[in-house]
Amino acid sequence: MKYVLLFAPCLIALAAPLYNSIDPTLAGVPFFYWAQLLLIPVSAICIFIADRIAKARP
Amino acid sequence: MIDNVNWTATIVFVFFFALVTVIGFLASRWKAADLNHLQEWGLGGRRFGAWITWFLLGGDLYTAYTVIAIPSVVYAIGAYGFFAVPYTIIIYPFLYLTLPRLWAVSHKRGYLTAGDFIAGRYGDKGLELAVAFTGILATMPYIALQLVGMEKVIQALGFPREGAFAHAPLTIAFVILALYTYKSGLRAPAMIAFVKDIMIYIFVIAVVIVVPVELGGFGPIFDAADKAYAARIASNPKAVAGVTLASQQIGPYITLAIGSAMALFMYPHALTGTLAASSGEAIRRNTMTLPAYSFLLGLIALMGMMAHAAGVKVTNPQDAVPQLLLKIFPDWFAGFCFAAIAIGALVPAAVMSIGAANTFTRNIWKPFVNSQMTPAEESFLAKLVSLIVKVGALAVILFIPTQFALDLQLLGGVWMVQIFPAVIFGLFTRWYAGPALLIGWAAGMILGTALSWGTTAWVAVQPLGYIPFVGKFDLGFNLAVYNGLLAVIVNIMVATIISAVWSRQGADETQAGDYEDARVAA
Repeated sequence: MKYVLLFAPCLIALAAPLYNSIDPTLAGVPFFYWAQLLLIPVSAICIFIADRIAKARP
Repeated sequence: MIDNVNWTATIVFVFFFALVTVIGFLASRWKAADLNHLQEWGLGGRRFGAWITWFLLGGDLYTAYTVIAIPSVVYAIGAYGFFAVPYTIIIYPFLYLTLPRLWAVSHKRGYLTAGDFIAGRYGDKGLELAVAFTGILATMPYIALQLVGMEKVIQALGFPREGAFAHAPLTIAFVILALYTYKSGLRAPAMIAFVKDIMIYIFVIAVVIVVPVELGGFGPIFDAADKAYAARIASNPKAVAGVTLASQQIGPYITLAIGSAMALFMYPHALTGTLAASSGEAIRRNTMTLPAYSFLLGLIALMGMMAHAAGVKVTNPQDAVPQLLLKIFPDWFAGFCFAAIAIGALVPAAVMSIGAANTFTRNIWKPFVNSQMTPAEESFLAKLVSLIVKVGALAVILFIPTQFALDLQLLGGVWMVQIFPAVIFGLFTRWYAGPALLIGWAAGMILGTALSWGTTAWVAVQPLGYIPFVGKFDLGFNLAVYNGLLAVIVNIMVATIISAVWSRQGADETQAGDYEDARVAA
């Protein structure tokens, strides 16, 4: 589970064809931009949870 | 000569510059210790907790050059410049898994550089030299580019671009930097990073609020950028630009992100900032909090598009952000933003010169010239080298065309990733033999440089369509790959094959337990 949380955001970040589109836009910002910007805090939260799991089961 | 100088902006700029200069000199008394010891001068005594490390690494990795260069790529060709975002997303999970191990073994064995770790782990001076040489080689042009970033904002203040005194402000700024780095070591950029990072956050948040309000929201910004790219393609049918990626940009976008992420923490300045942390836990905490800077970088990238919407027309895309700031802000705040960018050049330039100096002292001079150095002699030599490195970077800017520094920086990334196998694999296994990694490194360096050798200019990516079989896969986009990634794959294959048949192993002074840190609060 720890490794899934660490690697999943990376795979999404690298799957450029997935997010390479204008629509849906968010407040005028194309999907390409807001999806990647959103993924930044999501990936940080994933690391945080992975770390909690690692601490609980060393 | 100075008729065009924007005095209001300049006064604000000089005020903040003077402020950080004072901080830089006072920093020598912070967490006071004997600076005639390399671990103190060059690594801050490894006493930086999670907060200080956050400011230091943030200031160190997200450089002035980045603030100028990333939006300039977005200004010129659009979506492609956003590769910095996936690059900085994938790096932190990777760092979470690797850097606490490197910190632990370095703390236990007293390592100050990647070369120190390589020497201890593989017992191989040749590989140690290769790692040290690569780090210094790649760092020099990177320091020079920080000066490019600083020079762009000094020019935007209205100082002349040509003539005998064109480089005078830059030279003065750099001499001051060299002096307080010499005196205070890593403490200077660590303390200045607090000011720099807070200024950058204020500047970026102001831009992201003010520009959309003035231009009627984000919709018109992207529409204006779209029109600008269409006009560029209309005037040059070969140009590739757009608000989303063209199909032939997808392969380079992905592989550039991977290759850049693999290279970043091989640079001496990144490792210096990391090893100065007080615990592995401080580093783990930072892999969760440093992404705040990545978000900031994404917003900074968007400034390339805002410049189009604000009607900024520049021939050199690197002028786009400074001109945008002059256009949308009153002079005093533009001066504040320029100061933030210039100070943003000082922090990484200082850490880079310290990282290169530590590396030269520990992994070139000590093993090959004088193995009997005392800590005081080490510290003195490193201070001296930090000065030489900075003078060298200044000379590059003064006497060599800027394009050359840009090309070298591109190659620097390709070279830096070639020490990845030795350093990162070494954290987990001793299966690889030192000489095998050295031969793999040499293969990667030669291949990476050769691939980048274009007929008219240095190129970053390699089309693979002509290779039998590889080109046959229809992935929905033309396969083209970042040279650094291609070269490091060959590097790893060579090192693996030779290690499989290599029977003699060098001495390994580290033990399995050295790589685990006690998990205590940061």
